[in-house]
Amino acid sequence: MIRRIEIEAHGLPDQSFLLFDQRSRATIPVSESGGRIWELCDGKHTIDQIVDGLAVIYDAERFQIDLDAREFLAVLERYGFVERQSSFQ
Amino acid sequence: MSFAPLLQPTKESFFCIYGFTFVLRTNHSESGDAIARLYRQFLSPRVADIGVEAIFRSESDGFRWQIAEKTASASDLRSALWGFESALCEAIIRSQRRLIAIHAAVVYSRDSVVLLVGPSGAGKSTLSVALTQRGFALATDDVALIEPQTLHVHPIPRCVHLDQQSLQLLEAEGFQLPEVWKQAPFLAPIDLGSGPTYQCGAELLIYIARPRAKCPNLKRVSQSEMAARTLSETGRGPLTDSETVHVLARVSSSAACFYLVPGSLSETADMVSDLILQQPPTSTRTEHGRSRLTEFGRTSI
Repeated sequence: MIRRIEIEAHGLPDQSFLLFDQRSRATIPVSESGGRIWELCDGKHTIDQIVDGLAVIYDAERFQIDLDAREFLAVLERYGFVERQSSFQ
Repeated sequence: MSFAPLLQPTKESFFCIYGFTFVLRTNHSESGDAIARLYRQFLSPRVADIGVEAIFRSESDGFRWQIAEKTASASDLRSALWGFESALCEAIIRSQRRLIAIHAAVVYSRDSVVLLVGPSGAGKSTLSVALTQRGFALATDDVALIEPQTLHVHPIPRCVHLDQQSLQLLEAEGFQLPEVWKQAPFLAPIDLGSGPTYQCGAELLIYIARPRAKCPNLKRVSQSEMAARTLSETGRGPLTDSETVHVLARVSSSAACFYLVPGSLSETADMVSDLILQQPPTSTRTEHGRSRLTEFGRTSI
């Protein structure tokens, strides 16, 4: 997954992030963990690698993290905030 | 519609509201008094460079008003006066070159500025008036301007928008319309005991959701969620969308953010009142015309 370059990410003091699409004016507020996933959507990490990274940080079952991360990425993809890269996924 | 020179004696008042200057000319003293009460802290000495002429005229068949090129008429005083005031507010917003307009009521407590953000019909006005019954001061029930650099809140005073249902709800909890209502159906914040407005950043943001529930519910939300919700109540103004989002993120960064589903007016107002009073005291308030250094959270892009 890779972030679209038109998307701005505003980090806030409470660790949440506000994602803003300059083209559509759409916003998606995301939690601190969502912000971590967003930052890993750099085109260099596969979804499995993103989940691996989160599993090191969060005290939760890997399958649950995997489920949540894929669900979150599906939302970002549906709203056009990230794009799938065929070479990685 | 054209306006011939006023034949009856007229009263002139000059105002300067966040850089928007206008002269009010009216032959209807009650309406002139109402507008003067609304903008009383923006009364200005006569100046040569008046931006806009605003005329409100009582005629044999009703009322007519004109602000710059915009004109309208109404047969009853309430419609005419509310329409006139609404057009003035729009003109103030349109004139802004720096400030961002947010659809929000502004309430002051001793030590904090509270923004009640929400769509039309959410209950900002009714809740604001109920809060004045609990000792808070109302600066506006509808529109606040935000200064992008300092994040200072500049309320645009508006006539308080209370419909019949709102009045019934308020009267049920002891609210009585002030005497001035008999002269003209128009309530300015000062008519509810509010003092001058202040310039400082908001310490508490409350988004009022629709529809009402049986019981009120107030929950803390993330600053990003509040910024997103506030954006939905922010007009397209002088800044780019990107700059506006950046400012709103900073506004949320410096405030405690809450999401309110209103219930009964009395319970809701009590709940919000308690929340405001629980906020840690600050000493950030300065009077209109003076500035303060506002610290705000870091925002990265």
